[in-house]
Amino acid sequence: MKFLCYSILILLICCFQIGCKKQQNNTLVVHLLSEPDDMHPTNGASAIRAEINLYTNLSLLRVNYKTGELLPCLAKALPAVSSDGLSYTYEIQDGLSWDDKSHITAADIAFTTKASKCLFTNNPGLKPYWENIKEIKIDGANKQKFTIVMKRPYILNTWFWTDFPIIQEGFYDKNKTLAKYTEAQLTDSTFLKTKADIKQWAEEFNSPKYYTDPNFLSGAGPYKITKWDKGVSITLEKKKNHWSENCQENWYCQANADKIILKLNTNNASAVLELKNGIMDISGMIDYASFTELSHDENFTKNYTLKLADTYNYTYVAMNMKPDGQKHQKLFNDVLVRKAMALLTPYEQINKTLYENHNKRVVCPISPNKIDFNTDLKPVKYNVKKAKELLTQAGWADTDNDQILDKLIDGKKVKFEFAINFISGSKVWEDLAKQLAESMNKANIFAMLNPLDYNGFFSSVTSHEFDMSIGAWQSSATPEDFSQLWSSTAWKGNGLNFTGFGTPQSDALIDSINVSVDEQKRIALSKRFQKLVYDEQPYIFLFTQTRRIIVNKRWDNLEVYTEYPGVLLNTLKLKD
Amino acid sequence: MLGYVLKRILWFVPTLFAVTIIGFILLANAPGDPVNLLSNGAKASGNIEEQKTFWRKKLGLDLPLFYFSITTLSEPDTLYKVYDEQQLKIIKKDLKENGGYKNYIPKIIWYGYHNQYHQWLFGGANSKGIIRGDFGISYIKKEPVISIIKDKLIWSVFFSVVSIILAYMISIPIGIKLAEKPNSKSSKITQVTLFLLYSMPSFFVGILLLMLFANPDVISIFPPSGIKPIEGYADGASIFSKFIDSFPYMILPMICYTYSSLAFISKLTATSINEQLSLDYIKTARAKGLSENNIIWKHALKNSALPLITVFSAVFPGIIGGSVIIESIFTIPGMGLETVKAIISKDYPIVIAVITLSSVLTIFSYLLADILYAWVDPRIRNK
Amino acid sequence: MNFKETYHSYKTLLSKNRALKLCVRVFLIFVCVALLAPFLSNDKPLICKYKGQWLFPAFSFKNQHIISENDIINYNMGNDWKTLNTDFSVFAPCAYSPNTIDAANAPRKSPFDAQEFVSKNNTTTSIPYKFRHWLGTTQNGNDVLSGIIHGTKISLSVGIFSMLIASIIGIILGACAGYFENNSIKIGYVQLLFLLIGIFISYFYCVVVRGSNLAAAFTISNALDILRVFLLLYLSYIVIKCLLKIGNKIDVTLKTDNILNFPLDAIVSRIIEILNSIPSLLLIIALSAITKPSYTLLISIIGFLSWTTIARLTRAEYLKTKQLDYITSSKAIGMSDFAIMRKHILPNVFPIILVQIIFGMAGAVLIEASLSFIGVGIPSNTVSWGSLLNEARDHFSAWWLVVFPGLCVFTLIFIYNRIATEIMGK
Repeated sequence: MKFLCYSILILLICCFQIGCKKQQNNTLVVHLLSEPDDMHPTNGASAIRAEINLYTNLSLLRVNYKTGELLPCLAKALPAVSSDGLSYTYEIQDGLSWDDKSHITAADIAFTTKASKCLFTNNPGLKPYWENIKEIKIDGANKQKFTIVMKRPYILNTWFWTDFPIIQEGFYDKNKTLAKYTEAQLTDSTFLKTKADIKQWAEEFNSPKYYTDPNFLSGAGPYKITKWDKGVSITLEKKKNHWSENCQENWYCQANADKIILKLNTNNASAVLELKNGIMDISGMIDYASFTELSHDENFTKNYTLKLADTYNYTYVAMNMKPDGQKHQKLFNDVLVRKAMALLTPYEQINKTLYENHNKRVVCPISPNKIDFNTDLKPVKYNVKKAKELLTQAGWADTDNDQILDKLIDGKKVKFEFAINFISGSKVWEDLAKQLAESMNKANIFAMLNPLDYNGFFSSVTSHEFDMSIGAWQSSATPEDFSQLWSSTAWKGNGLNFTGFGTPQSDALIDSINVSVDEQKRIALSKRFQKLVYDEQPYIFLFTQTRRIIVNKRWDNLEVYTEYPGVLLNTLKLKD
Repeated sequence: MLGYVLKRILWFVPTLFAVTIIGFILLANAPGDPVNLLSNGAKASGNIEEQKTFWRKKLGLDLPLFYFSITTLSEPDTLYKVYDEQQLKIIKKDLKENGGYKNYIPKIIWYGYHNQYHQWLFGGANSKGIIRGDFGISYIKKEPVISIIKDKLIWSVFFSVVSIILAYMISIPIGIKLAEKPNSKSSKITQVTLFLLYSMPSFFVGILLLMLFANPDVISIFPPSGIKPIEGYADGASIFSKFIDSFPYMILPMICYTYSSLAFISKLTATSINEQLSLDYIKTARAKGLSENNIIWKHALKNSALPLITVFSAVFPGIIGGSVIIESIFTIPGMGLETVKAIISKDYPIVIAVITLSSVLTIFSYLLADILYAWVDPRIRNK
Repeated sequence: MNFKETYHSYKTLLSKNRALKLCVRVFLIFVCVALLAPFLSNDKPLICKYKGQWLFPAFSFKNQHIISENDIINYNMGNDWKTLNTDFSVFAPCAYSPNTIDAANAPRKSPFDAQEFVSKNNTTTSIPYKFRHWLGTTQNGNDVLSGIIHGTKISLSVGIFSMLIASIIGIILGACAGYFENNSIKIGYVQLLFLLIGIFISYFYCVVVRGSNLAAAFTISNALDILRVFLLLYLSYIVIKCLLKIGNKIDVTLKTDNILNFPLDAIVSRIIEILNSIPSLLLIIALSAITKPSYTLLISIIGFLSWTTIARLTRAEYLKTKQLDYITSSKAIGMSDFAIMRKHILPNVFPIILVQIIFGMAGAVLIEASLSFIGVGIPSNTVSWGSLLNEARDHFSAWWLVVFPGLCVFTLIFIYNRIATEIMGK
């Protein structure tokens, strides 16, 4: 028995030493809230992939995080644009090379474009982004120089390159199959049917190993994925003898930590414990309440820096403006009702209870942190009395004394009852929905909660089978293209325009914004568009989100940005 | 002995089939059309119908559901080929209104082995079938289910097996102590403590353990989440060094897995040893002058092993089911955590695969118990 | 022994055994709390005098009261009752409903934190004792005590009703299997054929033709649909019974009656074995993921899956008891099988089955709490003990969200287990 006791004691001491082992070496351990489904550079679909690609891949252009402007990355400088605004000529920097020391050339850019555009490759969600590229002309004399010809002028013709990593032709297409064909041929389905070699290449390119196997993930960035333990962690290691070693001025070629480990932890509480234990170095995913709590904890602030950073993201509550009247009643067709809903939202209470008063209000479809935000628009304030007046004005009254408003619509008595859809599994959404429902109850409106899984939620909003649904949009410093969310074609085509907003006038405005390459003109038009949406109130606009960034003090050189992902992990330096 | 084992295995085959049928019924009745989910991404590129037919064929959803179906006379034989839910509703409504007397006459259609169940179980053109470990494709990740849960299965099985062994290792000595001195103060305290533990819900204990022993504000001895060090195991590490690396991570979850079965097993040990101690052969052994330890450990325990084996098959399913809770508290990348994730995202093939697999495990644990039973007590195999 | 004697034996046991007495008392407290929940914890006042009229909002079935033509008081005003200009008001001991949002004390105020109260003229003061959150609040400012009080109702009813279903199925199947075994029920060829036909017919007309009713009964759960299902079940019972009678007549004339043994015991044992080999928590989780979350459904799922232990025990007891002398003698005097099963055996074996039922209740409570802890299969607007614990999953610093609901689950399970053990050990 004594022996047993002693051995247990010894084991516990061992545990103590291993369990509390703080990170000391030049390894950055980062909190990851959800795992990417895959890491395929061009076919991949999951959002978290983009953050990792910042360090493992390079793009033609990148974002300058400090100014929010374009920054040439692979390109020597920003492109020379032709007078008709359709041809962009780039030149690739000298001395850049892939992992096998071959140079990055214009052929790689052309290959990336072709691989993304080819109908056989499995990137259905991303194809529309590449649609506007007509062809890429490689300069005969200079392998580094090329011209991209676009189909039509568009504000994102340069910006869109920041989102897509450039991949190596010599790695993904050793036989140079795609180089034989033109962009037009690769998007022609009748032509492709006859070409067995393209099909064979695409099958290889789409095969699972290129999605998850670290040995088959290749990129030009200073880091490389060396290990991917599914459901546990992803390890990035600094490449040895990489060309970027001598380059320090631009963020994309810096690599200070030897290793970056992205550790998956889906539970907020245990992530907090890991931070407190010093196991985790950096997290941007801790929830608002825990962030506040940690910032008041003196023991914690001794070792960690806590910083808040703005984002371009915002949360909203969408209302169905054009329901079918059968499954979903025509509740929100009237702009007065939508305004009443906005007045019934307890903004201050939500900001206090769920966001610790850290979040700024949004007023219109872009974040107030953007340069083109229309400052003339004033946020709607919580006001039950005014909301009730608007509802009466819109013809809603409780005629049968059952505490629920009703109204005759198309000759049928309709009660003001509906469901609030939100994605299940997130406590914040659920609490938000509860607060909305309770607040609406005060105006005699009955709202049910309807948690849905991600796919169910998404198909309910895109097929317009919802009354009200809570969501969030992620955005970036890129100029806003409103057509995706607000054009009437996006509503008809079951796209991301959930509510049914859109008039010929607004569509025309969106179109003219999209071709305004001149920045000042674009901003003026964008402000007009924001006013248009503000007046229609298709969403209840809630808040911009705030990033809660916590970094261990053993890391230096911390800067936080509004642009995703808030912190650039590769620029953090270990303190001496 | 061999004959007995074979007979038991044969006896379990129908149970296995029944379990697969239950799993299949669940899968077939899951709401929503998986084809829509899988071809979701194709919406933008426009070849949605092509994608849909591809996935329908790949999942075998273009086949009838089962070997036969019982329908009404008014229903055409090939109704299963109508895939669109809306269209199916309209056709059914039409049949109901215009079928007349035919709606009330039964009809049995025999489809043969070209059906979804057969393909799901034994494999077909595009799948290998669950008997060869192919559980289909995850609706969300679009990967084969088995490649998702393969690694996770190992952790769950590891924890359930080790915790059962641990539970026996701890509770048999306790049970013996209880049997030796049933009325002493210490054994009464032990009994009460074990009973209290037995009534504790595992999620409560799990959270309390994390709050108390992984929290620098209280005591921080154990790591709060995961199952291995952050850097992972060193390359080419032996199983033993992996075990040492993972050891601190295992303690809290292991406590959670084990504590509730302690009361049960130790109580049973105590009662069955008490029964044995009153028997004649023990008295003879005592008369022979054997030491008390020797009597209990060598003779009484061996003969009271039967009920302990029975407990094994009662505890095992509980532990497998409990993994759902414990793994999600301690973020152990096992089957249980995967199930919870799959349920939240409505990824039914994973849920069904987990159910089927854990049922198979349970059935094997019963088989094991049966064999052990026969091995300990020869009377059973001769019966 | 009959049920009366069993009852008396329990009564004597209760008076002698102090531990049992205590447990039963605690259980009764739980029951009282569950029954009186709306009056123990309610955001509406029990009595109040408003503009000269006496109102009883907590006791009222209506949602509003018309004071005068243009002055209607809405009972669903949540926390605003506390600042309403009443002449006189008496609140429940816990002046909150589980879903009342108290924004002044959100997010997550501990029981010992300074709690705030926004009074009539919008000034923030320290909270008066009668409105204090004695057990703290959740993220949304919901009162934990109120959640616990109303959660008692859920935990108790899940345990009791699911075990009611389970014990009805378990006792009937177990008793039949144990009493008749494999060789007591004799059946003829024609009768067997007719039985199969009967089952087919009832399946066809209940499930295939009337499938929509069945689906409606489970999803919408309105009384008419449930009634229809019972009617269908009753009709199919009559059809099968008639067919069996006719089959028997034909068998008798053909002289093929009583040739086959109907293997009732084997069938029941097989079903039990199959259900037992699926881990029940996983199966319940999967079932509740497929269906829409609701408590009626959860109770029936637990009931329909946990009858196996009761059936197994009942079967074993019936097997043992039916060989006793007094049973054979009552058979000899011509008592019918079912009468013997009901009147003579059941009262004797019931105490043993009861123990299992009480253990089962503890299990059901645990299952419900586990499900709401991981947030699966439970309607999201009801507060239960498990869902309070779920709130703590993301915030370990909120110890009151772990300790109080956790202790409640523990106490209820503990007293169930203790009562069962004491009865078993008598």
